[in-house]
Amino acid sequence: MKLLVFSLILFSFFVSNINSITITVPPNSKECVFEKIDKRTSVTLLYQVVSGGGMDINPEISEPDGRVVYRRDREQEGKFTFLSRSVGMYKFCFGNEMSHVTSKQVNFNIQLSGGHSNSEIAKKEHLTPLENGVLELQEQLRSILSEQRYLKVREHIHRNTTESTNSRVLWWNFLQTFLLIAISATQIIYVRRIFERRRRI
Amino acid sequence: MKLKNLLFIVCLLGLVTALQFDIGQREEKCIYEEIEHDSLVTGDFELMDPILLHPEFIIYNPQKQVIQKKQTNQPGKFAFHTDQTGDYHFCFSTKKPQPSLQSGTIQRVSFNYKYGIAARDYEDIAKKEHLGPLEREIRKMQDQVLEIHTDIIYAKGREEAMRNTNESTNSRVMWFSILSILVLFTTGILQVYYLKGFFKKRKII
Repeated sequence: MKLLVFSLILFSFFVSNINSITITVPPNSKECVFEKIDKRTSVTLLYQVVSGGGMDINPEISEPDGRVVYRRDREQEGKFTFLSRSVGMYKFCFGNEMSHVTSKQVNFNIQLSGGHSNSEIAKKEHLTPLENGVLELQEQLRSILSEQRYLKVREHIHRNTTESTNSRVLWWNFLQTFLLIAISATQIIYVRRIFERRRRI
Repeated sequence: MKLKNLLFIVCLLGLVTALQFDIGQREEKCIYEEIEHDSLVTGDFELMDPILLHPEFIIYNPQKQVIQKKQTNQPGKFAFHTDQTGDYHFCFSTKKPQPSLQSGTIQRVSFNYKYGIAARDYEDIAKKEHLGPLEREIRKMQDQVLEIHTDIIYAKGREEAMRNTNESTNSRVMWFSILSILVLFTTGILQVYYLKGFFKKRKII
């Protein structure tokens, strides 16, 4: 019975949610999200710019007391892991101060693992090898899921670029051909006019 | 007794931590994520103290149509089933005329959602099928792996579509350049012939 309860504890602990959300950051501003995090939790922020202008963003992570843990300038994507030192509201910001016109769309996810009660109940000798195996499988499944969601967003970005390139090739070429014909016709008409004028004089 | 306390603590930690952000007056702030079709999406929202504004909570489907609209006066929950794969937007909107407060008033909102396997209630399934805690977790992993498999197959399809687009771009670049060169030569030759005829006519040549 004790064993079952312990198993229940450990299994319900490792169920954590990895949501890959996208937010829009308007030009000349900073968008922040807050999350309440326990101490001694491993926090990982993964972010990538989905669309907009130069595809760069200024990320910033702050602790509850205001101290900045991570700050970068004009990054397209990045990953940062840190161990939380205190309980409280952690701030994750993305700044678009470098752009005055275009807004940026940033996809990010915040992964939390561990947590301070993990050390209280990580008594592995109480678990059978089967339960140990299941626990390991769960961890690995979680990392597969996290990679998959990251790749999903990357694929989305690449698809946008590809489709944009494809339509650009078509339309700019039409424009080019049209301009070529128009310019040569204009040249002929202009030369004709010069000689017709000379004739009249 | 100590065990029960531990159980309580850890079950709390196992819950999803909610995202919080600020919303001002007369704006709409959205979070979106790409969700596969035929997924159950559940979640909840809440206004944090101090409550100064009452934004509306709106969910849009990939076609930007409204799926659900909810008032945030009370902490609320939502659930829906997706009928297509695409970007689903979860928005808080203060665009509706609010009693005007001093400009710069912001409201902290808390929001959380899950979809797919994470949204399913495995306690319920475990009770129905009489599964122990170990079996329940294995069952959950089984469903998760199936979901990953489906996602990967879908991703393969999209990668193929992208490959087709790329190959089309590649051949377009070549053919359109050849067309441009041909047009250049043709207009050049036509110009020369036309001018020759023109000058002959005017007896200049």
